[in-house]
Amino acid sequence: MLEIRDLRVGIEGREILKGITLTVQPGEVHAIMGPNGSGKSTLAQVLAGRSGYEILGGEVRYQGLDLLKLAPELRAREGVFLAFQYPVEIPGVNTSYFLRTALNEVRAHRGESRLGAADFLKQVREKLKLVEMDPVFLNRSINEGFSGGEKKRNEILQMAVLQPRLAILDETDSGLDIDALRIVAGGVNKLRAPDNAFVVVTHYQRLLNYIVPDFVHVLYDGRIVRSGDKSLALELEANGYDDIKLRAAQAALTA
Amino acid sequence: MKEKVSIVWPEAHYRLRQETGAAAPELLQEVRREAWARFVAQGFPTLKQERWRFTDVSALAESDWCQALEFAGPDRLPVGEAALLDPSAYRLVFINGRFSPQESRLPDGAESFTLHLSSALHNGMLERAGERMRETMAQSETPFALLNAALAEESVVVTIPDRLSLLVPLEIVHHVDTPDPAVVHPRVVVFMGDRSEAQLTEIYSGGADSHHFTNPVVDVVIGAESRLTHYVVQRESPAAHHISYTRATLGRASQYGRFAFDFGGRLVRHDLTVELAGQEAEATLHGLYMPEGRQHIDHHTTLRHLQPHTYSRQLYKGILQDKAHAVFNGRIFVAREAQRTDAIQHNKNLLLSDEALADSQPQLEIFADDVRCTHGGAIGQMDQEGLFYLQSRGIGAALARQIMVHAFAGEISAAIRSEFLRTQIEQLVHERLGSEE
Repeated sequence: MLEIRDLRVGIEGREILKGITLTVQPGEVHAIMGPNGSGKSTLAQVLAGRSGYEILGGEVRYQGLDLLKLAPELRAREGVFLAFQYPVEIPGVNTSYFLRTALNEVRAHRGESRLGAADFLKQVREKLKLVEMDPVFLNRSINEGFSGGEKKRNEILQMAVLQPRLAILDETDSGLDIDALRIVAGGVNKLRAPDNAFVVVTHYQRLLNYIVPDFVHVLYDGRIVRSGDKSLALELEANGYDDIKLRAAQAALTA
Repeated sequence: MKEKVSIVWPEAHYRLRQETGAAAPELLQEVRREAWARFVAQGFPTLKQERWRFTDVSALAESDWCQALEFAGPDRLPVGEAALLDPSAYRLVFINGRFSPQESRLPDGAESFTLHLSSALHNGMLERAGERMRETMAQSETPFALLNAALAEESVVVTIPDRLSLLVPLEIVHHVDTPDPAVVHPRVVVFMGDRSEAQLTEIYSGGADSHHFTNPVVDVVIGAESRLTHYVVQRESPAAHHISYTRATLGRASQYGRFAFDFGGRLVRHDLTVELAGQEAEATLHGLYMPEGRQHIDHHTTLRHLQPHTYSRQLYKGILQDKAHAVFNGRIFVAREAQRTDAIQHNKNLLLSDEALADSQPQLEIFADDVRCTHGGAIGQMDQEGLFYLQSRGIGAALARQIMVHAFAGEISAAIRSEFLRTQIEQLVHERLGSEE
């Protein structure tokens, strides 16, 4: 589904990702872990199509498409979804209108008919239950005045409405208390299916107690320095990132 | 040495006005003469004057304006314009400065409020209106208000008695469409008694290419515990000049809500003075201007907090395209005795083109020590974070931009209390920006 080959990305002349290679198959959940500044969020943003990054090398294939050549909205319509670490507040844009417009753009791309307001509401009400959100949020401006937890739940709601093939969760656990974390993770788990995949970017192992990954990758200084199964996350939880940093430093010396 | 701009056309118009107005009541003639003397002393403003340094009126001063009254013109509004008026409203319509009885809709005499032309005023009303005009003329800081007082042919005087809640909006419509460049000087005086309520809407329109100059002065006195909602919809031709002066005096615990919308005009300047002259008076001002092409729109507001516990809010927003230029100068004056003043002012400009330009300037003059006065401003391009957020959900770039711009304008239009006007303004915003879907 997703094949990242030797991806190198810079910002303002500084190389952030120094050769990432990663393959994600349908039905899989990959966790990307690593200390702050290792490039985790950059990877998530680049996959979603945020501007301002320079692609220095490598490529990303997604369902046979050259992902990096697509505009962000085309990636979304093809089924890529980024749950933002910091969801954006947009005063004056009604959440319900936003969700319906987005869904209809995605549906039109898939060759499906537009959903009217009534049909849309019926659908979205079901999805609201998934993340335990009050329908009043639909009539508020996007994320305006939402608490941290409400914003993250709104991200998962959008994911549930748009039903992506590849969902990238960027630090979705940051700033969440345990109840909100449980709700958000529960929402994600209900959306897991054999034909879609998740890339979960996180600093802490905590989220992975709820969203159990098939693979765990450790990103450090722009490279994947270790990969393993879920036990790797537990090992990191026990030992922290110091061991990783030390080994990377040693590798640099011997190189 | 003070640089003077010639005042050839005002002189010609003033001579004519002295003849046509020779039969007017002496008080009004006095006001006219005094205004003229002051105007001659001041002359047209130049870019060297602080309050006019962004707005160049030299072309306007040197143009060869006719009086719009010289043109017989149509006595009916174009069908398209008439459709934009509130069917429920009482209204006074002026076409090329001339009162149109056919288009106007006046109260039938059974109503206790009055809409009068100054030529029909008598007794106490004449004196009251004349004195107010004199006072407003004398304290106005813009020579254009003096010009209006010297040259205005006819004024509208509205009186709303104590304890009357007028549920029907009052519209005052000025439509100008002349073959040659022409000037009009609309003038409105509104007296509201105590505990009354009203909605006043000024509408300025013109022929599609009409090259004219509208120079209105609107003067409002709001009694204790009264409430006035005042809308100004300026949608003149892109070639028009529009320079207005508005003064509102607020009595104790009164509320003044104002919305100023600017879509038209080549050169637009609004001077607004709000006097919070009674304790607990409240003024809430909104502005939305959307210049495109080479339009120039300038707001100068002055909030005068004169009594304790007065409150003001200002939110002026601009959406600028092409080579448009917008100016906002917001002055807040707090008198020494106006303790516990609460004044907030915001001006936000969204630049949709690299060549658009906005100048924004707060000006606080505070002489009381226990006050809350804040101002904020933002001039910027589209919020790229918001844009990316919408796009990342599948919304195309063009539509995402439109949604963001509409949201920016929506903060103002959503605050409009009149449903009729809210719908109309949203429509005008859509026309200016292109529709969302």
